Amino acid sequence: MPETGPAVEDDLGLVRRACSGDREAFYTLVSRYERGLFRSALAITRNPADAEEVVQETFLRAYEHLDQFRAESKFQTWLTQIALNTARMKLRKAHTGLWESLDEPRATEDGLVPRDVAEWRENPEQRLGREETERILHHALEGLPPGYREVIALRDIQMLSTQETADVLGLSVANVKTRLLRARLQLRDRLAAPLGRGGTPGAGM
Amino acid sequence: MDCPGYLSAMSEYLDGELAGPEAEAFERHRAGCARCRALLAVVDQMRRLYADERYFAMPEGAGARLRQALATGLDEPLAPAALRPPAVAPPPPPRRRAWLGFGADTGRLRAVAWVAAAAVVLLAVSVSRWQASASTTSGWLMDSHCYAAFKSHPGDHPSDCLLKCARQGWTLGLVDAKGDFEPFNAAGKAKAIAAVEASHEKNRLWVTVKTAPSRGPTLNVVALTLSQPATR
Repeated sequence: MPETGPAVEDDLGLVRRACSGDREAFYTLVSRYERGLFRSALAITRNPADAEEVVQETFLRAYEHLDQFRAESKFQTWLTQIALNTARMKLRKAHTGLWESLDEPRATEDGLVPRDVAEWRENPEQRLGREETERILHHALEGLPPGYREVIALRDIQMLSTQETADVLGLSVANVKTRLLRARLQLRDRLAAPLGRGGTPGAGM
Repeated sequence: MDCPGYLSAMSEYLDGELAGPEAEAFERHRAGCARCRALLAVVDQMRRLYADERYFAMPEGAGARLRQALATGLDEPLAPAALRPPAVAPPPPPRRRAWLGFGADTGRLRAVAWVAAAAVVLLAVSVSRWQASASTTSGWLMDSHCYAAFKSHPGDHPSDCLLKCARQGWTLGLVDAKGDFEPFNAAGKAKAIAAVEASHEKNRLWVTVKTAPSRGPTLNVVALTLSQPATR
């Protein structure tokens, strides 16, 4: 099969080369997926240090079990499955509390919705700047139950399809859809509460 | 309360699975429903921000730490022989090994290789660096263990990792302008360890070595300095 130009090598080719001991091929896969895995792991574990460890352990496990990867699934899906299991184990060991205490939202006394969420409307990043936008979104995700964070991480962060998300989570597609909708509704209520109440942006405060 | 008739359509709309009259009906509902518009906006913004490289970047140094962990961890099942610690003498770098055509790892074969290499050197006048007169070479200080992992960004390789690998028996050398690993001789390795231990650099180990003519493929290091990389 002739390739057009210096095409990006597909995952399967890289996996095959990595299986035969080609480290460079494996590092190409690492570079391809490390950021996406980190973001998903961050959404699930809620802690950058844990997310970093999840990424490391995921790639180590993936390498160790690379020969068990079956070509009928996407490599990204397979990798995400490993990352999810690793993140769940991290959560189980749960030394949560440390990160939360370092990043306590400013206005939880207002109720469910932190004060700055009122700012989250169209293109928040244009007015709030990167760090503030990250903080608000991270905080909104942080408050979701673990199962909801997982489904958001897979579907809206990793951008797996509904079917792939169902495969990774071991749920039916219908279940994924239900869970996803609930998770997204909660996010909306956390991020866009003032809009949702039909009032002016300040009405929720 | 939450537009029940449209919520399942909402999911399918977001997942790009809504078409035909259902899609049109949903569009009409959306136009008049702030709650549905807010939900769509939140999901859309979240997806956009998470897809944006500038947001939720890995912590500083995480990429280097990942590669360091992999350089150590990947070793167990599948390390290429060329990157294992030398049992007898420092292995020649992969590039020259291929050129010389010796792949075996036993000391005896390697000794034969050195003799053959020396003969080739005698014949191939002024082709190879190691038979040139004293010269100066600069590059990123690196160990043979981590070379593959940090080849594309050798300046990120952490000093403590380098020292650890060096103590475990890995060869030290430099990554030259072409990205090749040029191994030091034992004296060069000792000088490099001393220089790194004396410095406070956590990474970005740019090294300049003065070399004397060498009889092997290693750089015969007579002097070594750590410095900042030359500005372009």
